[in-house]
Amino acid sequence: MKHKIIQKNDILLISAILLAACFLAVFFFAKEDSTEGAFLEITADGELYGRYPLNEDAVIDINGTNVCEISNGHVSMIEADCADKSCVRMKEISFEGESIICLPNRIVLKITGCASAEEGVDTVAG
Amino acid sequence: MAISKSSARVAVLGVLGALAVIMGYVEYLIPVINTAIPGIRFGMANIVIVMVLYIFSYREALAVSVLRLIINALLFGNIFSILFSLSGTVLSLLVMCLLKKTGLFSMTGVSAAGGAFHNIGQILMAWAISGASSVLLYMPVLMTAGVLTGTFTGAAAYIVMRKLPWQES
Amino acid sequence: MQKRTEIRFILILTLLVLPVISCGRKNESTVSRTGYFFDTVVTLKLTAENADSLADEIFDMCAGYEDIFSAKKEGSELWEIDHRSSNTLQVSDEMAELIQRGLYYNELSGGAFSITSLPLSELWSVTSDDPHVPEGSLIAEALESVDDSRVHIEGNVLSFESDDTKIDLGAITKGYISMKICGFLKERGCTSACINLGGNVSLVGGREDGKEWNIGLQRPFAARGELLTSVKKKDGCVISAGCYERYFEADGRLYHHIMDPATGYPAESGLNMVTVIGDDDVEGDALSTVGMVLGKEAFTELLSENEIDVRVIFADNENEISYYPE
Repeated sequence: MKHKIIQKNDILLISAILLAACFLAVFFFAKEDSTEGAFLEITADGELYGRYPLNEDAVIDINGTNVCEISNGHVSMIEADCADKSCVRMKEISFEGESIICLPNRIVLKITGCASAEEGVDTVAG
Repeated sequence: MAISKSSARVAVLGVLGALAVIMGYVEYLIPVINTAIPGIRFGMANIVIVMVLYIFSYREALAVSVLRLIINALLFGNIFSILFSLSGTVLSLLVMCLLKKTGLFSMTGVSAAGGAFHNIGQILMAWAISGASSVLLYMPVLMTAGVLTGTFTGAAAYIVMRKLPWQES
Repeated sequence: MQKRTEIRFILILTLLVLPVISCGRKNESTVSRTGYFFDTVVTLKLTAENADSLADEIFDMCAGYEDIFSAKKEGSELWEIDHRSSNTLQVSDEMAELIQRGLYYNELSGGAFSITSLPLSELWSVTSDDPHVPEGSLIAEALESVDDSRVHIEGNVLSFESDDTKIDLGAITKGYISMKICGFLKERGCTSACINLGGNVSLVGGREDGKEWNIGLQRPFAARGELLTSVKKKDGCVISAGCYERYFEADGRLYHHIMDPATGYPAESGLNMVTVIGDDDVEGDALSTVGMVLGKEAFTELLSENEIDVRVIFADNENEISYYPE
């Protein structure tokens, strides 16, 4: 049995582990800024048209009939050749599971892969 | 006085295993503050485990740990907690045994490292099972919690050991 | 040596026990899928064993139901009924079931709900390229063929009293299908599912974390996704009918797609939306339409008189919310 309850080596060890934890925290924090893993999934006529990371701003043309935009992690439909243009009027989306739909052109924009909004609804009725 | 008779040893290990289970249960009754991953606690039962490690050897410590896990699973019936605890226990015991062998650290330090790696093991298992990389984000917090609780359990074990007539092996 | 044997025994026992314990571990997964049927979007969120193949089966079911109930799809059972050559037909079990329920709600609502209003909705054609207010004489003409009493269903035999009676089950088809989907999922042991069939929400159990599903209600006339309010529910359904879904504007007035069979015009009941929260999808679907036609007072009277066990959320023309029961 050692004489003291704790020795210098122990303190070094503990400090080393705490330091490692700090480094990891900083490392993760730096990575956190990019909405990593969050994607916009575009489905046309039931088939996957493409997946685009939300952390890269982009303007995407879909089949020549619709145009959507990713800006600041938000997605919105900016152009559509359908009659009612309700998809263009839809609110911009950014949370997991949210979607914008263009019925006439059968286009669905959906967010996948990132943490859901805390108080978010699972789906919308009506 | 060193325990040498094998049957007495088994009996003692059984008792210590039971003790570990009881301490785990008592701990379970305390409301948890940070439920990041199931099964993260103070690790009071580890006081027993650390003592077994020092009085006997890593084999006995492993045996008592596993015994405790099984009994916990049978009593409290959660499949996932076995996997998590097992991964944490195995990793932490491995680390503790290695550190103990170097002779550079006292019980407190060894236990501190054990505590940290117990949680690291659990996070890695959670990551392996769920495939969600977001689980890894908890690493820094739980490493810190682990090392701190490990320090305390190690110190507690030391205090208890000092009062007992057993010799360290 | 005994010590090592004992310890080895414990370890081996552990190794043997663990696989047995982990066999009990359920192999459930959660899937989220989107499909396109009945001219609308169908989204599934379900947790079950083999969730993926269950979702495939559900989409197959939807395709199958389209072949039965789609009014627009040429060759579907409904289309054949409305383009029939004889006034007595054999129909499938599903068609018979749904027609029977439709007739029931027609009677219950005193005609506010009707399954023969197709000529009327075709006349108004709210979703066509050139929607306009039809001439009064045309409306009167269409109204003449709106009469559910001319439809009879006995077993699988469907008979009509006149040639120009056409069936439109659009108001309750989605409810019927989502009911069938949920029945199917429960049969297969699924304990957590959320189906959104073009705005009709149907639930099996709660979320996979055990909590109730959080269902948002679309705010009438707001951007899609903007909510009026939300409800928490496990099992059952949340079904809305509203005049904001399909409409056109002419001369400063709004004309929507929910017809009042009594007047031949879109229902003017002072409501933007009626949401029925209950346990029977077809009932919810039918009642939400009835609510929009009858208006809040008559509708709540109907519900309490017939002791119908549902909760209703009303949004009036100013999007003010009220409830039944209060």
